[in-house]
Amino acid sequence: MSDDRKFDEALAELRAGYNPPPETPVAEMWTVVRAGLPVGQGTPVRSLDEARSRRSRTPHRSFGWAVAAAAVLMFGVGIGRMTAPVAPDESTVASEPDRSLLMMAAADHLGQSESFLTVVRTEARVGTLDPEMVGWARGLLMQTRLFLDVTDRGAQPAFTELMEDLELILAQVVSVAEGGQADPDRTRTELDLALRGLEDREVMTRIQAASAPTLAGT
Amino acid sequence: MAGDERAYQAIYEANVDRIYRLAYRMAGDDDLAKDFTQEAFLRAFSRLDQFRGDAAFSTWLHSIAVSVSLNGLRKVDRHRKRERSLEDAAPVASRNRQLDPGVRDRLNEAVDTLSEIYRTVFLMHDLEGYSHGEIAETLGVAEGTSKARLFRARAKLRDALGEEMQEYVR
Repeated sequence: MSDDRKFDEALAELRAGYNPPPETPVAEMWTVVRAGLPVGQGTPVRSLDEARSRRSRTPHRSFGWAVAAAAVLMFGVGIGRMTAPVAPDESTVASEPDRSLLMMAAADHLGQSESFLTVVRTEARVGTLDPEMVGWARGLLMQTRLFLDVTDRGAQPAFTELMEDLELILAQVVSVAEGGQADPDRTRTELDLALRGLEDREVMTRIQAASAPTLAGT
Repeated sequence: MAGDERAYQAIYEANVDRIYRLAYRMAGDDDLAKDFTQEAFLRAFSRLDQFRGDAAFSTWLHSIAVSVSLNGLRKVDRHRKRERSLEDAAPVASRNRQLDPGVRDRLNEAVDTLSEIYRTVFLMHDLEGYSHGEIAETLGVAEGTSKARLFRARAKLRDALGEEMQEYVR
């Protein structure tokens, strides 16, 4: 066996055995981060020590609808140039801090989707799909669906359409990944089909177009 | 504030897994990894006005997280003193029939003793799957620098393994 092969095996061993992260304690850490958030306009974010000391006094909220709630607010103020101009309803217009944060959340989702699809396109050429991609795809799929659940389709047709196309492609990738990778030719074919939809629908271009004004805050 | 909190939470949820995983890889300790992760988010949230939008928010957040982790590790210097018990190593051994436990420990020590700049790139690229582009943006270096550091890190690991490279595969 060559040294390169041995070294690759050593790397694989390290990947599995060098400080392998346990499941992320999402909720536990959030209780501290949340306790450090500013309590009102103009108040500072607290230090970690201060946040810890406040944690016990801060009730925990569930996570499930975080992205959806962000999406509701985000769509309330209108995001990017994809949205049709509508008269703002004062009851739904978010404050400036809301607006910038929510735009970041949307930009983040689109940016991660773009990165993911770029990697998938690369892997499709060789007919492989890294098992770690499945978790990534599932997470993006869940967030996409949350955005879809709360989108006002009539008011946000372009954004809705983009999310629907993204949902379809992500679902296909998850399906391919979950189906196993015993046959590289089949994997390549199925990924090709999913990616053909990506190209035909110009999803990447639309994501980039949506991300740019979102990040710029326009 | 309620809307703000939901927005903060959405950002947190979207990024926390990758940040924590990286912090854990760097620290090898759950308490430290949690500290670094929480500190990174709080610092990022306190400096939102400094985020210029010329990079992805997640990249900016990763830069803060890596900086927090490296500074934290310098303080505790735990990564250089980390000890791995045989009990901890046992599950790893069962996943790979080919590595001798002694070699595995030597390999772990070799990663521990990599200098900071090499170790960070190695952990991000080879263990956590970051691209050179992501690493370059996170660390504020050129992509070529990231590649060069990875090359050097791997070379140092090969050197550290030395003769075991010839021996450990049964």
